[in-house]
Amino acid sequence: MIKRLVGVRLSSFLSTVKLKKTGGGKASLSWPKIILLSILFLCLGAMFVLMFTALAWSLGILMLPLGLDGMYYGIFMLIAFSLVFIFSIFETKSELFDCRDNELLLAMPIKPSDIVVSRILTVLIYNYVESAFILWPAVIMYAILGGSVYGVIGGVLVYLLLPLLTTSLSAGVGYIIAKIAKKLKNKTVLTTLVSFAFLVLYLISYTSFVGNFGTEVEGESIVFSEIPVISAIGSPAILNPAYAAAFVILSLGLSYLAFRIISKSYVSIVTVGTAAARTEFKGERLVKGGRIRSLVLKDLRRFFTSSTYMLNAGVGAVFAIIAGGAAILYSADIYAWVEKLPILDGALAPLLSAALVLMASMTMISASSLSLEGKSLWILKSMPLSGKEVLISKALSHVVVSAPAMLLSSLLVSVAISASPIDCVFIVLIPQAANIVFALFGIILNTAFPKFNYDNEAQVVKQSLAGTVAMLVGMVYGIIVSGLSIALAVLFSALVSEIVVLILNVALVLGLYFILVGPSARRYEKL
Amino acid sequence: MLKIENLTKRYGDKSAVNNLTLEIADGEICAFIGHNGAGKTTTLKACMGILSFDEGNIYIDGTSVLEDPMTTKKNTAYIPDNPDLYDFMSGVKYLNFVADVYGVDTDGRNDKIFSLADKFGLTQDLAQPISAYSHGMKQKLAIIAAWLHSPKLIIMDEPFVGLDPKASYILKEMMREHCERGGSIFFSTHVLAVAEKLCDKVAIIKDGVLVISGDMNEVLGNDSLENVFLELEGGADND
Repeated sequence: MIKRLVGVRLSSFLSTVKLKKTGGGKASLSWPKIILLSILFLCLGAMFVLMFTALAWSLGILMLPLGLDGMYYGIFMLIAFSLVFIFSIFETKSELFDCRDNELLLAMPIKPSDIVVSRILTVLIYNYVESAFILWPAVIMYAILGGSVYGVIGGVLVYLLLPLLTTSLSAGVGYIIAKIAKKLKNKTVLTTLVSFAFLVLYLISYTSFVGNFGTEVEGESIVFSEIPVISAIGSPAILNPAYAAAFVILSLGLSYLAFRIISKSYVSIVTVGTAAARTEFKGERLVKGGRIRSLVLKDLRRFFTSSTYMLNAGVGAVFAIIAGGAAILYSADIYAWVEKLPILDGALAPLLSAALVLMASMTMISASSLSLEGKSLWILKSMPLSGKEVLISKALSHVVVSAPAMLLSSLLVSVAISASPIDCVFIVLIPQAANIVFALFGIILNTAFPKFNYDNEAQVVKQSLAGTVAMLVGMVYGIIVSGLSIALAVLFSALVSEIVVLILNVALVLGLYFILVGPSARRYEKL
Repeated sequence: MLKIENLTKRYGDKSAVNNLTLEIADGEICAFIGHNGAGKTTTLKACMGILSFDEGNIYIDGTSVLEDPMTTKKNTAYIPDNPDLYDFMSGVKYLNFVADVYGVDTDGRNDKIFSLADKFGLTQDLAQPISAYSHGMKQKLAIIAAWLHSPKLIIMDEPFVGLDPKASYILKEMMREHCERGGSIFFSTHVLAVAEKLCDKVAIIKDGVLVISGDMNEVLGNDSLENVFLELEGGADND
């Protein structure tokens, strides 16, 4: 039964990417698109593998000759845990508690514990895939650089158990959020706030830990000495008996505990009544509004009433504001950092505007906004609305949410580095232009790869082809812009760098706009 | 008002609708009857311009759905078999959204929304989120939304499913009034008694092929619609 339930979950996830016959008898993805996407995913996968292989190599040649094998693995275990945990924290809650088929399954002769196991296993499979990109390069490079056999076996053990630990913890956090939300009237707002509180708490703890680590490795004499905490974390990977045993017990024990606790309250959480405080209609007069305005307001209402949508697709806007605040608080550190890296002298403003572009790439509202129409798509399709109107309204909704946050962040960053008026203008304009790029790119992708059948919103917002590609391409674009900004600022001047990057973004806006109102709008009309 | 010419829609090798031709005049109510999977929903969606078709053409008030879908959609309203509305909106916000898209003026929308909501007993629930609505309440909201912009043609897929007896009666009244004002209605139903009493015209589809259509009285003769339908379907023999 569990195998079948997991199969259902995975087939639901894979439904967007596999080649299948649709009602119209046409393949949902044409072969050229499949080849193109395969190349894209291979490139992105290769990029991550190369990135972590390079890290493994650079750490390995420094640490392994000094016998710091535990510290080497400790660093990779921390990276894998942090990235996978952040990626899965909100997704796990949706997968566990917000699936549309919860009641359907509970009405069948299936044990709730089997449903819980199947949901946790589904997230676990995703986490194994994500962890593989980080941990396998570490294990392989460890073997290549002459690490011990124990270390290789331990590395495999860590790969097998660490995703279990991550999944259990994210399931535990999801459970706590679901339990709190159950008692609240305004579930969306408070679920979002509680989830953000968890995330911020986690980030503060993590950055504080990593900050300490960074300080210790900065001094040349300390770089090659052991940092006991990190070594202790990595000890299971070199099969230190006590630590390995503790790690096995902790991973398996926490998994079992999470399973038992969630199974016990699963039915009461997922069958919680939707009855909220009744809102009396006071007979207020309705006022006429414009079509695009109404479409944008509709999409904004959808965004702000879904904690899954806000947390997964709008996190960039919040991070941008946090980054702006951090820039003000730590402006002295920014200057100190520039002093240590003279190459950045004069390139700070372009670099920070590129960093804001990277922040903007984390907002992916438009990449799932068409898919989220789901079974309600008939409403827009039966209305006298052109594809252009619908798609532009969705891009605008993205911009409306992200632009104020980016503007605030840009102003805070400008103040933090006492930017000149010209730099200030570019620090504002470049991220705003990039924001429009991401809005247009997201909806173009979503029109090309819509997913209207889904069991929970996370499947669309986070796991769909459009959402995944938007996120990855956005990150790559942010990295390219950062590199380009620094290179141009170093080779020519900050002003040249800013002008070129702004022109690049504006050109992309124009190019993407013409794709949106042309091929994408026509494609929407044929959906 | 509605003219369907040689409509053919295929799903792969299978024809869902095959060479269907049908005409509904101004002021007529036409019932569309057929077994499950006969091709009713496919035909209705093609008329709305929300499903492409392989051959033929459909005209609404003289305008082709293929050539000018914006104009045909302005003159039409659609209620699907399962009203999946925007759960994240309240009833009144949804109706105001629909009114905005169709450009209904402020006075018009207020008069219409509140009079129809009163009729269906939905006024007190208008501020509730649609997610809290029952199937019947969603159906009522979809009906109000469909009537909101005074369309010439209303296309409905199983509109009586989920409605309580009073709401069904109100809907039938509204359908008659709409046709008295010159509008037309094309709807699918399995409730043959309602179709027989309410409609001027009937069209029966079987396996994608229109087996009979015409004025209700001509089609029925001295028989009931149920008998005519079962005879055409071969159901009576099977029983």
